[in-house]
Amino acid sequence: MRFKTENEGLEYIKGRKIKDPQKYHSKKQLPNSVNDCRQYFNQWLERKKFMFSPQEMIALMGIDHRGRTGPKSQTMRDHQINVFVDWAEERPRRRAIIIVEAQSVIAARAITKRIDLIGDHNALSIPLSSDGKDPATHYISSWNCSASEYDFFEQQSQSWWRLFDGRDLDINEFLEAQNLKRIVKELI
Amino acid sequence: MVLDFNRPFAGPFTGATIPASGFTPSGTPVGWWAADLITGLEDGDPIGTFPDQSGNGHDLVQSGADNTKPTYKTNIQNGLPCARLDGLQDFMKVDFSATFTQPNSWFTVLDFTGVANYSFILGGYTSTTRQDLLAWTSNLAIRLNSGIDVATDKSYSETAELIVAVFDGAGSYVRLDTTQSADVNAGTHSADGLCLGTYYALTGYYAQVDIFDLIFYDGEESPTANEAALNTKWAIY
Repeated sequence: MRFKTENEGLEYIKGRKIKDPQKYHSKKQLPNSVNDCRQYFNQWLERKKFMFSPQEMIALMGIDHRGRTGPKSQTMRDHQINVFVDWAEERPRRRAIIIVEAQSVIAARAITKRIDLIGDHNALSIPLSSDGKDPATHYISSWNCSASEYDFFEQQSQSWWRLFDGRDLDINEFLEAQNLKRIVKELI
Repeated sequence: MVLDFNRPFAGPFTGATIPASGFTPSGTPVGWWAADLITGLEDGDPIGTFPDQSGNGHDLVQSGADNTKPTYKTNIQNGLPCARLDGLQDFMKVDFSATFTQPNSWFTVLDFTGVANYSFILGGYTSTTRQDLLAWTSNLAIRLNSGIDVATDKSYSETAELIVAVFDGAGSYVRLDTTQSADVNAGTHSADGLCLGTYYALTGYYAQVDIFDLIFYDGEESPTANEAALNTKWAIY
């Protein structure tokens, strides 16, 4: 996945393959400068602030919902600029259902960390097996992601990585169709 | 969708708001989380911060990746939105930075979209401050804390429900759509935070549930004070 910096934002937006340029021009204002681009992105962050945890907001804007400050992260802003452009181009959010084989879950989590830049919980943590008992044969994640992030997941070609479009999908019916069950340990 | 770049900067989020639905909880809740008062999001957006409307700053937060965040879904119940937890890894948590001893009251408007064993709607924040409210599939009961069934006739349904849970030692009870259980002993745990959608260890038992409204009180808040108003807002029963 390519990340574009804010300084490249203008060229990036102009350089993106826009599906319907007339639609784009009639509803949205192309930024006239890098400063415009920065302003539009910041306005989008302010509008969408509840999509983000306080830590993410600090990384993105230097300030969270309640005014607590901290350092910005250019890597995080670069990533979210891609998410912002998806939104501006009306590419709808996706739901990625990712199933990986248990012996490859460490490598799979390294892939997801390229999307999960600030998260402190491992993706692909839900163990599955055919009988719902240990040991786990697979792990699953259901990932609400942007269109660009879904494209990144689709680009993974490893044999142990399986991606499904989770839109309107009932997870229980899906697992049954895959002959997999969640492993649920006895509650102590 | 029209991109509105002319929207004025809203400024930092502060305090309680006057909700469009007209509902405000009775008394002075410690925390109040209402899906219809989350601003700026569109159908399908992840929720990283579920703002507390009580003015106490107890926002529910998910600091992990978007795969662990609930999803904002519009027009789910009475034309209003919900925070949808997918039962796989979605949860949120908040540390109250204070400890509230029993009695405590929880008002929850929710809809189960699937129930696996031990689905935690509300999980306590630590192992020793656990006010858990969970659905137990073995006998379709709602439970307060571990091992304390609130009568096996309290079966969950797959429509929206209003659950009131009062933790008060041997006088604990649950009301499901205004029907009250017999008293049960839910122990003596205090509440110093909340895990929404999982239990304190955050490693499983995720609830597959739509959350509409959630209110927490320090003390026993009269259920009738909010039930009728919540039913008017959400058209539950």
